[in-house]
Amino acid sequence: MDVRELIESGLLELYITGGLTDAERHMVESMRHHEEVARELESIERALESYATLHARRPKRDLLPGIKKSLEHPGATDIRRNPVRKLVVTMPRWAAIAASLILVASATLAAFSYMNWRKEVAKTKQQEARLAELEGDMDDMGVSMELMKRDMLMIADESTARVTLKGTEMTPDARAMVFWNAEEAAVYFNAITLSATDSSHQYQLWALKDGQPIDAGVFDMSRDMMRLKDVGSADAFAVTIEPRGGSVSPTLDQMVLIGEV
Amino acid sequence: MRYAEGEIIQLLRDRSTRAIDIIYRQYIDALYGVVVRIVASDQVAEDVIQESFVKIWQNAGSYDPSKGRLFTWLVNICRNTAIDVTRSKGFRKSQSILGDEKTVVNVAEVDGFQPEQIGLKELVGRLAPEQRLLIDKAYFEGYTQSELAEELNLPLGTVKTRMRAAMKTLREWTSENS
Repeated sequence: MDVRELIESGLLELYITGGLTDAERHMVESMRHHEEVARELESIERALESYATLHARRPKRDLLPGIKKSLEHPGATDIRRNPVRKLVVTMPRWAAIAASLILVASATLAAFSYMNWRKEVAKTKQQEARLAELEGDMDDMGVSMELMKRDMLMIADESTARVTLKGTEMTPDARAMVFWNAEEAAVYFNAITLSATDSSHQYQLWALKDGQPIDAGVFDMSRDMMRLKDVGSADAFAVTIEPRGGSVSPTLDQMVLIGEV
Repeated sequence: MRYAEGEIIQLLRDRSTRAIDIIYRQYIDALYGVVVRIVASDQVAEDVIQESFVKIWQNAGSYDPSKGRLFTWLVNICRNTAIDVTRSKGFRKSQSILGDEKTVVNVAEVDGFQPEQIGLKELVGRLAPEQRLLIDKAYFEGYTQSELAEELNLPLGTVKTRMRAAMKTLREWTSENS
């Protein structure tokens, strides 16, 4: 087939649109070096590009953030196996998974890195699945992975104190966990059972040291694991109901949770 | 700001994710338009786009500029991913195979005024419906000449001549309008 025949054949159009057999494609490619063929191909491409642009349609929402997240975790986007999940992770479940994995982690990890920790805890297929689910959940929550990893690392660290907060006479069923890493002074709070306050009030976490209360931050009822204010030393943690914005000292008769380190 | 293909290709080679930002901003409408025609669903189209962009990023090394324009390569990836999805289990195609005048209506359904609509109307005026159908099925859906002949119940020779004529009109229109 000579150049003229090739151009008349309609094969070049199909080469661009993609409808050729392998043999036909190789044949076109072997002729590409002819200037006339190359020019034809470029002209066809531009025409089809214009055509595609005419049929352009704006997506209903901005897909770029999701795409960029997927670039970090390519395995999570097989749409045929499971549709993109919109989900809300309930924090008790998060805490329960994290807690069960933390307990499984060996106390003899030499170099404490996230990857080592992950390898250590995901020893069974079930643990691996739960951990992958957890990581998937964290991605979907839109939280920066690095931040979460650091937090998870902190919470999982064997030197982090796990303080169970129990309810008071006022709220006997209340339950929460505080994860406190004294070295970093990092405080994480996770409500397990806690009702919401009204809009004019908020919860406030206190660290108690030698009988002295130290403000550790205000928060609204949420199922999320929360990072609150740094606390350097504490014997115990307590939560009280305070006016919105918090108080300088705790309102002791409004205590809902307390637990010793 | 519009980037030339060469600049984007270089960014891809440098493994800079800025390339993805630029490709998205510059081409998403055209790519989404291609995909949504095939899968006929915004939700599925969104998933296809996401998967396609991951492939674009991962396979950037295999893009060969001597084989064609970057845009063609992007369209091919998106189109092929969309076609794969329509062939997978559990996907229900809500459009008939043969396609119809809906191809024009699609543009009219786009929210907001787009100047391209005028251009398309003009182009549509010049192309016979069967010509438009050929371009659409070949370019947007990857049909081969023999598949088109079978699908549309036409002799292969007719498909070839019609396609050729259609492309000639399209190319004339393009050079007039660029």
